[in-house]
Amino acid sequence: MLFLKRTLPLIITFCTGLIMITAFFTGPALPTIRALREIFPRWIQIIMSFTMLLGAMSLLRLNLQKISRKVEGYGYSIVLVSGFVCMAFLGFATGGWPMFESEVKVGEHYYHFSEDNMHSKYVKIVEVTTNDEGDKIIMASDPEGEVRRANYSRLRSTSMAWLVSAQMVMFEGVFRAAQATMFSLLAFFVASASFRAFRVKSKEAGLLMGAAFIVMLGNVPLGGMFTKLITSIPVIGKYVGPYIDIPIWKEWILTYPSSAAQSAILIGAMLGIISASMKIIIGVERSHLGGEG
Amino acid sequence: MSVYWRPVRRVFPLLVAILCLVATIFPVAAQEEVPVDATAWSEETEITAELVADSQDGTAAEILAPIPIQENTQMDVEYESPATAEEVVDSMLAEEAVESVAQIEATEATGAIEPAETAEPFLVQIEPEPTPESEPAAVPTPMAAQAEISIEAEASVPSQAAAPVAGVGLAAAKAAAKAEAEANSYFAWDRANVLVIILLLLSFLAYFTFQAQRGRDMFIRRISGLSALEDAVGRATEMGRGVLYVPGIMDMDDIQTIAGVTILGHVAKKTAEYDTPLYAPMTRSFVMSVAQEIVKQSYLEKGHADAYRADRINYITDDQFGYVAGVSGLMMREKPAACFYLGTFYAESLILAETGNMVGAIQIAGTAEPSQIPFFVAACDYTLIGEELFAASAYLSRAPKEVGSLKGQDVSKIIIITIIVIGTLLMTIAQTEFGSQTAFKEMSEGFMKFLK
Repeated sequence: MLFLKRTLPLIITFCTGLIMITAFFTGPALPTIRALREIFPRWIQIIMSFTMLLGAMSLLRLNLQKISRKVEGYGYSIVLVSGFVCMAFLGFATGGWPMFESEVKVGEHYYHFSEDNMHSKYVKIVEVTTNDEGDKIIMASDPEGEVRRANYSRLRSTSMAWLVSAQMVMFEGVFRAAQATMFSLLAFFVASASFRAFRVKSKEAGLLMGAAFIVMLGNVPLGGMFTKLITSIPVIGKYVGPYIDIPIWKEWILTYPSSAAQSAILIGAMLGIISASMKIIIGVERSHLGGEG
Repeated sequence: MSVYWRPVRRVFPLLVAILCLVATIFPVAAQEEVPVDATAWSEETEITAELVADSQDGTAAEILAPIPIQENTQMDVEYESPATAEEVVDSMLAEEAVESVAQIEATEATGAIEPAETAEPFLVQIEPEPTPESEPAAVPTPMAAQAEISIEAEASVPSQAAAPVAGVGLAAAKAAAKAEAEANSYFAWDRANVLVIILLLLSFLAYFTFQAQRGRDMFIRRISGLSALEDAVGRATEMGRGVLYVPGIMDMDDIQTIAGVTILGHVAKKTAEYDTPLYAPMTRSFVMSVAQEIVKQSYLEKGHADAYRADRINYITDDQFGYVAGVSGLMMREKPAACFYLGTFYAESLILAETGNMVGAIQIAGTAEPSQIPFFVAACDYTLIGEELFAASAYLSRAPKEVGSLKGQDVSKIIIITIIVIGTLLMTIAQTEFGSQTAFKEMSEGFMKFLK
């Protein structure tokens, strides 16, 4: 059991790591080994797709338990399970198209959807032919009587059109809107976090405040206006004016201290990544397998 | 009997000296490898009619026209092999240059071209042209200031046309040979520098790990965020509230996520010890299963297997903002007293940190994403910046193997800093008036070439 739980994963990790390192440094003369660099990461997707089922099961089990035990806030779980089941049903029901290929008949009415599935036209099939390559060519007339070639994969029967519309309402009208709402919260949080960060409690906080003030001022027209104002003052403008240019200060802060600090962080992080990867490949670090490292 | 050997302090200056030596030798060695014709045909010294026209008051035709050039009859030599041809072209170029110098000196003496006040010999480029009508030729010549001359040869002289054309052919042949050699290479030479860094890092890791295992005491500087970890869990215990742990929003193929779940193991040990609820909502189901396993093992090790609750390490959703909504909801309901955000974060970092702040939790964050660090610094009590996230495991476990590897990483960092300082100094000196005329320019170019 310990072999399967600890030793085997370590062996697999070591071999895979070694192969990937070899593939990274292999020249064009060994294309098979070089190709592993692209192939191996693709295998991760297979594992991920299996774990997706695991996640869905975990989510459902947890929330169904909450509902059955009627724990505090189980109403949220009801909403979650309803949404899960609803979207899963709509996804499976509409995702299989074209599943009624043989049923597209002349004289019948269908909904012809736009590419983004947001709009549709009620059309009547006037002609169905097959070209030399075996593709179906469908001509449909819209309510105005204009006959056009219809895209076969976008034709939906009435019941299917309802399902697609419901799915799009849920996806675009609920999911996307909720997503945008969460994202827009950032604007308020940036303001509140900045307010706290700019309280000058130490020398470092003072520096942060000063730099942030200059960058903020340099990013808005007020910064340029302030520079012009200083320059226009008779005596001060002559001697001090040339040195006070807020947009230039901003550029300097972003180009030199800021990017230098970011480079330093990146170098440190990359070294840390290499070191951590090496430790995992060699087997020095094994905390992720559970237990002592 | 154990022999206690401390070579590091002695070896370190030596290493720095070797690095400096390499930095000095490499450009020189690289310079020797550059063939004469390649230097002559280098794009950096290429002189075109437009350039001449720009740098002179007169037109290109006026400047270029007065300099005659002798017909070179030696160009009729037939090439037997590429190597022979190269030698022949080299010798012809040299001879041509000598003749042209003599020609121009004679011209200067007769006043055809006004000689410069400060005569500086420099290399002038022969411009290859595809058509035989306008064949440029060039000579090394003493000339005025920054003036550069490209000499238009007589269109009716086929022998002069042969030199550049042959040169182009040779360059193409060389490029083809180089491409063929690269195609047949078993090793990606363009990644040799990465291999050197990795090998260097590995050797340091191995050495310091070995030293640590032999009992050598190694100093690790205090990392406030990690030192506060136990206090944070203790605070949550005292307040009778839980601990929230978020190992980023990426999957297990991200090294930061691995670092995050590794620290989760240490946090879980503390929560098991203090019997504090641990909530770890996950954005990836794969991470969830790994985290469940780690936490379970930690609780087992502390002898509190019964306190382990798998439903508290649960999957929410793969969607970024859906996950944020779920975690924020959990925070508002459970009001954890300590929040840990250790892993890869993007736009959700500030939303999570601000929600944690609203519920009054002590917050420890860590990420290697430079764009998110300011948000965490602004909104959290402690922040692990970049490499500190990867050092956390060693810092918390104090296992000799891990501490040794951390030390090796630090030494590698010192070497990288040394290289950066050397490169910066070389480049800075090469940019100055003094440096641009000395060997520093070549050294800096060679150094940069070496690094690339």
